[in-house]
Amino acid sequence: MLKYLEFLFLPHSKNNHKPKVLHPSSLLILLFIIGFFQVSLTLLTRLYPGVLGFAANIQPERIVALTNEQRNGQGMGSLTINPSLSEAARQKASEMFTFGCWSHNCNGRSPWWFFKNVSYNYLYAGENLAKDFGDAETAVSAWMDSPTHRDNILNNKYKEIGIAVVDGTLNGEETTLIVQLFGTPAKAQVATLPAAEKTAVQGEQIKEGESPLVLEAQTPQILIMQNQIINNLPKISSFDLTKWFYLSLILLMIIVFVVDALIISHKQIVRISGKSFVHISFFIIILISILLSKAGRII
Amino acid sequence: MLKTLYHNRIYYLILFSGLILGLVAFFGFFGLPKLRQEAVIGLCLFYFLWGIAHHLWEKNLHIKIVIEYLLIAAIACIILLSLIWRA
Repeated sequence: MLKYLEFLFLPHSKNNHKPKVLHPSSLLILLFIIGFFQVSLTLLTRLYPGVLGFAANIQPERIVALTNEQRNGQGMGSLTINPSLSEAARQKASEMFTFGCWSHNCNGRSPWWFFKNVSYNYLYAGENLAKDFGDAETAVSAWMDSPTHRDNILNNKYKEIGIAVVDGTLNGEETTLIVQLFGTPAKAQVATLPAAEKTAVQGEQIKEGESPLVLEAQTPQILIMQNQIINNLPKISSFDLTKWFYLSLILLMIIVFVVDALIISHKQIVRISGKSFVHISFFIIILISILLSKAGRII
Repeated sequence: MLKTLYHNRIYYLILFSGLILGLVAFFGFFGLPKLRQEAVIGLCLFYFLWGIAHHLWEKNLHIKIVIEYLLIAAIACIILLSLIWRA
């Protein structure tokens, strides 16, 4: 057993003075193992939905506060929470979970359909989506890093906001969806009807037609949105599983390369091979990238 | 070791600049998966080409070395791409 480990991890006359795990054939096998791991994870989430994933405890109010912080920082006014918009956001999240879609257009419905479904007559409207974030700060920070989402957050035309943070199973994996809707209501007593409505695209605001029509003012709905928290059982997401698997793998490779370089240098063995020092540097960069990677997607 | 580093200082300067640039791009494009993927592919391709160019310069390029750099770049590429995909 010990001899086999030596054959695998240490340069030796029996492995042509190069650890077996660093031979091209072993590197190729490693490539297949990584592929097999990813295929297995995908199959696991498809065949056993809800086994992987995690639900974050993000407070919608925190998202609103952070959004307003960003706006105030740019000298803009704060957005006020509109319960109707929050209800529209909740409906959108629910639709996404029901139809397993991660898109602005879900089940043939554009984001604007949900505005109308809650009778929110708007002059301007926009939508930001996020999933898999562990906390509100990272989600808002990711939106701010994306030009289109940032434009939505820092758009002076928006006056109101609606937020839904909903837990559920999306494409076999438990996750937390954040739906952020922006709107400017058509003025009280005076509203506009859409002339040519644009289809929804990521983080884009739309402007409605110019011809104003006199409509009845909407009765303010009294609705308190609750953050729907599903039981937060300690689960591991496919991202975390992937991250830890890769960290172990790369760390092992770095150790083998370092030990190999030390032994080869000490014994002054000449062999046909790439530079261990260069491979170690490259793998350290990969290790840092994996270590600092965070889960979370925005559209 | 230090002597070799000094002798090939231009090559190593290019290598480390490329690696750090790749790392900065990987994190700089957080939230922009498409650009992140391109940054990862660019980083791995750069590493592979650098390896070949370096051994050509040292006049000791061998098919085994080409395969070694290719496989290591491919492993890094698939690892980072699947991490972006799972994020």
